[in-house]
Amino acid sequence: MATSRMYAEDNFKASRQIWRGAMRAARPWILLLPVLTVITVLFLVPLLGILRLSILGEDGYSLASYATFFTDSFHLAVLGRTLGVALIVTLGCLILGYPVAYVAARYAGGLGTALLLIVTMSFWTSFLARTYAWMVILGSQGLVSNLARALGFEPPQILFTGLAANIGMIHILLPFMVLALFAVMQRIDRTLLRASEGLGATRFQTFRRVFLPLSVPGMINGCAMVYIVCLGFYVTPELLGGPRDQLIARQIGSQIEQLLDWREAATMAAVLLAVTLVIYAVYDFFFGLDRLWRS
Amino acid sequence: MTENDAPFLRLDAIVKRYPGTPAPAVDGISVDIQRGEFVSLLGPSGSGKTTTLLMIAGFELPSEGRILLEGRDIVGLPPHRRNFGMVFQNYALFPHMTVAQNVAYPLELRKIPTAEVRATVGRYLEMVGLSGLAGRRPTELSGGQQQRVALARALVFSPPVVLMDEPLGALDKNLREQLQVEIKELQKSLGITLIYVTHDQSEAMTMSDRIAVFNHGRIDQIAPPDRIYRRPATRFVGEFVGDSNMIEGRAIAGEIGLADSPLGRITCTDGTSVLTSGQPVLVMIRPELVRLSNRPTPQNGARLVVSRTTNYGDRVLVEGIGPNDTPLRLRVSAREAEDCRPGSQIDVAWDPEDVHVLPRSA
Ligand SMILES: Nc1ncnc2c1ncn2[C@@H]1O[C@H](COP(=O)(O)OP(=O)(O)OP(=O)(O)O)[C@@H](O)[C@H]1O
Ligand SMILES: [Mg+2]
Repeated sequence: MATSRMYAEDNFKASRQIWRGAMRAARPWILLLPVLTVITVLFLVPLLGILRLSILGEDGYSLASYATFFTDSFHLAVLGRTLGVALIVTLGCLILGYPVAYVAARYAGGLGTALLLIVTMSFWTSFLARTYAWMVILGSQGLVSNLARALGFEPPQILFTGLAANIGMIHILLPFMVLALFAVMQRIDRTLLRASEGLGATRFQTFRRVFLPLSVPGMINGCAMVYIVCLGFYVTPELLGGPRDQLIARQIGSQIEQLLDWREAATMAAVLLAVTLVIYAVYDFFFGLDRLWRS
Repeated sequence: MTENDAPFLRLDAIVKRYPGTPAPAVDGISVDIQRGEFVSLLGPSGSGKTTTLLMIAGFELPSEGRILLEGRDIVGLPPHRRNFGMVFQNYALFPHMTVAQNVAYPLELRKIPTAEVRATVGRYLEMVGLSGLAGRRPTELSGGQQQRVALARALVFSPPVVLMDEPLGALDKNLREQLQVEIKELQKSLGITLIYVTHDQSEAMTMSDRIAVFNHGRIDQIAPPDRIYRRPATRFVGEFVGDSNMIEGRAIAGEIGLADSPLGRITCTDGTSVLTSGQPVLVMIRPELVRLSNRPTPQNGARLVVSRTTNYGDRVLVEGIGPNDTPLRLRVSAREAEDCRPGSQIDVAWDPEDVHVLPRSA
């Protein structure tokens, strides 16, 4: 009697344990369910729709639109310009952002914190507002032009050129770069810099041979992020650049709005996506380095 | 050491005040270190050991005082121009360089030709037993191996002085003891002047030529290990290094080398200079120098009631209460400890030569 009750209890305990184990294994998935649903319905399905659209011709599926894209010199020029502008903007962000992140990381508290605060503040300001601000600054009656006139020469056209578009994009994307660099630089062990100086390196040698290489993961993170975001930039180059500085995102827009060519637009979107994925793969490869050095 | 034998490295009345802290971290220390000497800086946490080391290395500036290397003041010299080797507790190996590149780093900075760098690096890696691991990255090494790389990197450019800050602090006991022996042997065979920070007293005892005992930013005593142990200069040193009985007594006026204490009269052969006219003294007796006795002794001994015994395997610690509620500890062998059940009465005695006397104020 007593034994059988113990038996039953044991059974009960065992089944409860199995149930608990299953629950524990399932719990992360239950938590992910809402997100997965949203991503699938609102993102993956439409994305597949676009890809399908790009290969769907009047006479069944074909890659004809891709052939058109890659043989059309106008489209290729837009793609090339987009890749080039993204590169310039990325390098601009890196060159301007590195010293800021360096100071913020080396002088944490005080100056460093103040710098970081300024960077994040511009990060939180609407990029549309910042774009209009640049229109005011760079316009023909703007700050820059008036300054040039005050100095006695007639300013060249800046607004509605590629230069203005690049300046605007660098400004808007700079916080991404600074924060990505800062995140890595801040984790660089100070005793490594001490060790380097103790072993006979000057400050500059320590920077070049220890700090700089150890900050490379941050540079890669920041560059990948800025480059990828830059590829899809629409409003800022549209508002600040000239009609001949159109990037691929704007081109996709006009395919739909003006030419109603959904298939061509879907093809260009697919090409843009492919380029982005390639860059992401490169990024992922290098990001692996970061993990190799730590842990 | 004669008068004109100028010290190799001299710390001269060094003070360090960190901004925003009330008490100085280092409060006026002076040390002379000879070439080839192994000096340990020993002391509890926060007593100023690391700060002292950082000032010698040049990473912190002293608020006052001078640091002289062969008579030349080096306080104004930046770390990279002092040419000292340094080993940190967390190893501080460069994660983006291989073992060989880490060790080659100080040589490359000194513009040594590549072939010579390679040969020297090979020699030093062999010296620390890591020849096979030259191509590995620091993250692919165990803690002990990482510390050996750090050691090779600190020694490879033959610095006149090597500084180590708790280099073995993160290692387990066996590995620590093994590396203690290796560091000591390297130091002797290469003739290195080594300043070694530790808060592990047995490490300091086994490795050093001299130990500087730090107490709140000051050096209470700097002396060879056996002197630190047997003849501590202050109560703090006596209690920090090893286990001790400290008995508060009073020198007997008119008698030489005799003190009155709650445990009766104690003869002292050492420190008689403080034993003058009835001044308060502190009598120190190491527990392992107190022995069981088969009869009561009127002087230099006591009758105790055992309150507790603790078996450490090799020895047993017996804690007892003597006359006037005075506690006394002794260490005996396991066999002797059989007579020392808690509650039982035992007679103990000690030799006057093993008694050390301090002024009570110290
Ligand atoms: N950078 C600093 N700024 C302010 N105070 C400091 C600084 N570094 C150390 N101190 C203080 O100086 C005192 C001595 O510190 P130090 O690091 O020299 O001690 P330590 O003997 O090395 O101790 P431990 O054994 O814990 O390493 C401590 O009270 C510490 O809080
Ligand atoms: Mg320390």
